[in-house]
Amino acid sequence: MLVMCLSLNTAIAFGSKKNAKEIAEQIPELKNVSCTFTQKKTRNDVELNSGGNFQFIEGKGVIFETMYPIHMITGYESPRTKHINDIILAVAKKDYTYLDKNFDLSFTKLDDKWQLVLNPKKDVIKKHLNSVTIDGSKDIDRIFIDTVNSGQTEILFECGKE
Amino acid sequence: MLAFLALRNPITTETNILRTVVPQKQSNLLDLSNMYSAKINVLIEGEEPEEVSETADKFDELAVKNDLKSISVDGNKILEVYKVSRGGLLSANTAELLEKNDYKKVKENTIEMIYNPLGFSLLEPEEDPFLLFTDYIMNLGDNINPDSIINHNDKYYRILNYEFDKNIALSPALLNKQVKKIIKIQKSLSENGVEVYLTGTPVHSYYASSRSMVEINIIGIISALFVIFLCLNYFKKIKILIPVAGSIFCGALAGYFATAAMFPSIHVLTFVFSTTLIGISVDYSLHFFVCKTEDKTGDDVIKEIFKSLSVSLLTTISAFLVLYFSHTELLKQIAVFTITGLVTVYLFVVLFYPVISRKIDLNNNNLGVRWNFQFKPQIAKNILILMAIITLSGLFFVRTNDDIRSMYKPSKKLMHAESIFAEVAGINPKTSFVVVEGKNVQEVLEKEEQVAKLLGDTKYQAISRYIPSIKTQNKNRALMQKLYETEISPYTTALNASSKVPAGDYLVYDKETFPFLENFFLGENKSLMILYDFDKPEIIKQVEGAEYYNVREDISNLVKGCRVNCAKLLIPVFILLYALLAVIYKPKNAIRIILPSLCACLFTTGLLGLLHISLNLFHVMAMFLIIGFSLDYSIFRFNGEKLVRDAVFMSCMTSVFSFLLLALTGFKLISSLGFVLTTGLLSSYILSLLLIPKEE
Repeated sequence: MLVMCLSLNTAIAFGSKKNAKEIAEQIPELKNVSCTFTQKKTRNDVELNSGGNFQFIEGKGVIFETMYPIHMITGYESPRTKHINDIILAVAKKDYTYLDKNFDLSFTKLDDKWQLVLNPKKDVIKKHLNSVTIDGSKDIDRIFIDTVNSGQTEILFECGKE
Repeated sequence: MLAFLALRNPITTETNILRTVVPQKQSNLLDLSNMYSAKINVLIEGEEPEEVSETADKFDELAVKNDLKSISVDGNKILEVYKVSRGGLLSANTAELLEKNDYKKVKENTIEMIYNPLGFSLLEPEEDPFLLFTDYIMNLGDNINPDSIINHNDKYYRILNYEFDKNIALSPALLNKQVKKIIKIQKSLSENGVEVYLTGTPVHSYYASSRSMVEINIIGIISALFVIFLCLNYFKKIKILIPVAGSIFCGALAGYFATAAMFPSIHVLTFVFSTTLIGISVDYSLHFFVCKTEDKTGDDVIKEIFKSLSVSLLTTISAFLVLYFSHTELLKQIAVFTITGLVTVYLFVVLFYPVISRKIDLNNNNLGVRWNFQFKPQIAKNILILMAIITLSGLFFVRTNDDIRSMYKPSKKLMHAESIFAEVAGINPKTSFVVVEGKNVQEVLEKEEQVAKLLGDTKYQAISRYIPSIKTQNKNRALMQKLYETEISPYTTALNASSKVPAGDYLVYDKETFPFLENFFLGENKSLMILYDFDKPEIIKQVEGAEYYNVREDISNLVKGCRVNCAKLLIPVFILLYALLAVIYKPKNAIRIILPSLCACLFTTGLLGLLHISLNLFHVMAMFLIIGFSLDYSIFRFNGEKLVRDAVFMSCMTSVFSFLLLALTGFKLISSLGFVLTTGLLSSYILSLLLIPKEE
């Protein structure tokens, strides 16, 4: 319920919609993909490393199967991860209205490499999330999540098409 | 006098169809069935998420401008309130693990949350080393993000939920006006591959009432034209409609005042049924006019038809009087309205028509054309055999259906919207309720928690999921404290976490902080739990003050009870009518008079069975109207001279024509009534021709 509360429309969007649309046009549409991932969570100099398999399913979202140091599966169907999954899905499907409503976006592109930084607009999200950075080329190569309470999470992907 | 009594009480019109069968003491059931009466669901469908999001935002902007309230909460505020009380908050799963001292599993869950690539913590690890608070919040609900796009069958959707303000919701006219505006927005945004669907009770009400309004207007005009045509054709003058309209107006007014004086509100169905009184009361006027020839004064005519009119009135009153002793308020209202109305029309005809006929020329100028139909014996025999076959074979196939929803069939478009909304939103059709009562809110919460324990894995929504009772908060605090004290692991010490559960206020219900929980309260100390896919209602009885409701089943049972009661009343009605007629016309003649009505009821029931139309409460209620009408035909035919038989024919034709038009309407309740009455009246008239030939 509170995750729902966290994403309620209380703040007024002030980003440029045209900008969000232009940005979305420069990001390639992401297709179904299976990858391996490595994850590094850092907080107060404490580093936690993990890794496993990753899948992106068009229209649905992401599935992380962590293989080490513990085994667990985190899928798009899990209510606990729905919010971040929605962001990834919005980027993948170029839902710039959603992105523009919830985030201030900044985009850089060099050759086929691009980087998208999402800074939350809404106070209720800002309190827990500083930013999400997505690096990619044809697929997503890296996601960097900077949280307020849980430190930083960097996820690197090594992908091969399905 | 009646008007005085009525005006002393404020008169309101009841439109809720459930009020017809649900007694006042079952107000919980009414409250539950009305829960969604002001809510509108909007579903935006598109090929691409972007167009769906854009349309949803546009809709939201326009909807809010048109008095629709978005069902939303202040997430920041709630989170802060929860944070303060976090020492007493545990998810059900974690509380269970801690009760079993399964600290190992609790720690495993914490580690999983830490390593979860998409997970995050709502508090600093020092404040919440086992992430119990994050776990609690994440487990509160289905975490529906109002902005999130749903992918379903290769299309993208967004769901928006709104509700109208109570002031608007309580006024059908105002509600329809607002829904009309929302439908206009829907149409303007449904373009370029994007489809906007609207669902919810107000939308159904709007379409049903708009359609009914058009149909009623058309029916009204056609019926009026038909009556005018008949009058012109038979009487060669139209001014006889003036006293007819006067008598009906007085009858309806008296009926209204009497009902208003005796009941706190009048149900709209009372009006629907009682207006058929017009059909019965027109008989009295028509009988006067067909007999009022130039050689007779008004007083002569009244003398001539007095017995017929009085017996007709007496039998009709007897039939409706039995309804008064039913346990259903609607039937009582119909009885009062109809009896008062009929008596008034009767008095109007008997007392004023002779006077009026002296002032206005109401003579029947048509002495040539006669409508005295009579079947040849062979044809009559064949008709009787055919009706008997239909009746007997049909009675074997009679089925009943007490599901009140079967009385309303929405348009294909609305049905499609409902079905696609249910699919996308994952709405569970098997929803039931538990109403919990206590002395105060705390007792209500405690009882809810007792019920929740009995539910096992059943998914549910309730206030106690968001606001645990103080008793549970104390228990959680103790469990948490024990965990902290016994499991000071290297992990927690490394993070410099405190081994004491944070102190803080109890979490208590507050309407301003938790506006979305208001709908869970049915009264000051009465709450509602919503259960999904629950099939053990008997276990709820274990908790005192908790009562299980399956609204659909409960209402169907009440409708069934009402139908059975109503059907049972038919037997004493026929016995009473027979006794009355036997006294007046001798037993043998009484059989011939009552037989057309009885056979018409059986024939109609048989025909319903043969056509596989399930018998419902309203069909049974229509039987009383068939008796009321058809007995008149028989009595008048039995008593009357040749001229009176024209009146019977005219009366039958006007009624059958009106009911036939009703049978063609879109509202299933009305159309099924129309069908039954058309069949019943027509068959009773034919039977009266066969059983009471003109030689009598």
